[in-house]
Amino acid sequence: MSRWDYQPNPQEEPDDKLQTTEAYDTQAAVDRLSLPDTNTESSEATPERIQQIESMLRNAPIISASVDFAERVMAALRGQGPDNPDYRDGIGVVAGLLLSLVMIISVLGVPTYLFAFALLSGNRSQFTDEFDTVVSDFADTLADVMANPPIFALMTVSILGSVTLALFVIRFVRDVMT
Amino acid sequence: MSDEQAYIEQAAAGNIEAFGKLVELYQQAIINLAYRMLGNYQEAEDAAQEALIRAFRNLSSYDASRSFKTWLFSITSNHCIDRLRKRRLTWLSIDEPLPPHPALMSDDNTDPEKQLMLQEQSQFIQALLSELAPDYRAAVIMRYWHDMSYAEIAEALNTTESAIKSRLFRARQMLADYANNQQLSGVKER
Repeated sequence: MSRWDYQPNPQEEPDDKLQTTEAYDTQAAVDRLSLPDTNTESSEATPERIQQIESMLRNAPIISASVDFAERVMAALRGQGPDNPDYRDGIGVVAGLLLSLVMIISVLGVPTYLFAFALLSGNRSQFTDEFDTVVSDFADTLADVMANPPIFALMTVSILGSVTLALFVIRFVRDVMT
Repeated sequence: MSDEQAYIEQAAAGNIEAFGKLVELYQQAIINLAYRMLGNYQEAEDAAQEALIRAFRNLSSYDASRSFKTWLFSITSNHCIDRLRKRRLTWLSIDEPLPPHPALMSDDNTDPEKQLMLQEQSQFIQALLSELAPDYRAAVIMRYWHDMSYAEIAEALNTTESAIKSRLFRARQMLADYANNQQLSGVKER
C-alpha cells in the first residue's frame, strides 16, 4: 500500500524485469537524443545501486500542502470569474480585425485607387490631376475636422478606443503564444 | 455515483465549491508532483494552482471513463515541464542545494536529528531528480511517488507504455550513476 493509498496493478511486471532489450524502441532512441550529454556515457550503475535508488525514491519524504491552498485556488477561480469566460479576448480579436480592415482600407485605398486609375486611363497628366485632387480633398477634410471641436473630440475618442482594442488583440496574441 | 463523480459533474457545471472538494482530495498529490518536478515549494504551489485552474476551465473536455487523478496529473506535469523548459538555463544543481521545506512529513517532527536527516535526504533526492530531463523526471515521480502504472503514466504524459518503461529504465541507470559519482567525489574529498 503506498503513501497515497493507491492500488498498483498486481499483474504489472516489476521494474527489475524491465532491463531487457524490449524496453528499447524507436521512442527510446528519440528520447536518448534529448538527454543531457553527461548522462549518456556512464555505465557504473550496479543492480544494487539501482535498488538503493529505487528504495530511496519510494521512501522519500512527502510534503504537505499549505492549510489554505484549496481556499486560495477557489478564491483565484472566483476572482477570475469562472462563470464568465474571458469574452473580452474574443471581442478584442473581432474589433482588432475590424480596426485593421478600416486602417488598411484608409491607408491603402487611396494609392490603390490612384494606381487603378492610372492603369485604366493610361494618361499621365490625368493621373497627376487626380492625385492633386485627392490630396487637396484630404487636406480640406483634415482642416475641417481640426476646425470643428466636436468632430475633433469624436475622432480623438475613436483613436483612443482603437488603441484600447488593439491592446486587447496584443494581449490575446501574447496569451496564445505563451 | 461516487462522491468524486458527483463533484466533477457539479464542477463542470461551474460549481466552484464542488471543485474545491476535488482540490482538497488531490492537493497533496498535485503539490508533491509539482514540488518534485520544480524543486521549489513556492513555485510548486503556484504551478499546482495554475494547473488546477486550467483543469477547472477544461473540465468539459474531461473523459469520465478515465481516471480523474491521471487527468489532473497530466495537466500538472505538462505545466511543470513547460515551466522547466522556460527556465532551462537556470536548472537546479547539486552545487545549489534547495532550501528545506518546513512541511516535510515525519513520524516524529520534534526530533531535530531526524528532521535534519529528512531534509538532507529530500535535498539529495531533489538533486538526483534535477539530473533528469523534465519528461524523465515526470515519469520517475509518477512511478515512485505516486505508484502509477505504466499505462497511467503513459496516458498522463501522452506517450506509449514502452516509451515509459524505457524512460524509467534509463532514468534509474542515470540516477544510480549520479549517486555513484557523488559517493566517489565524497570519498575523494575526505
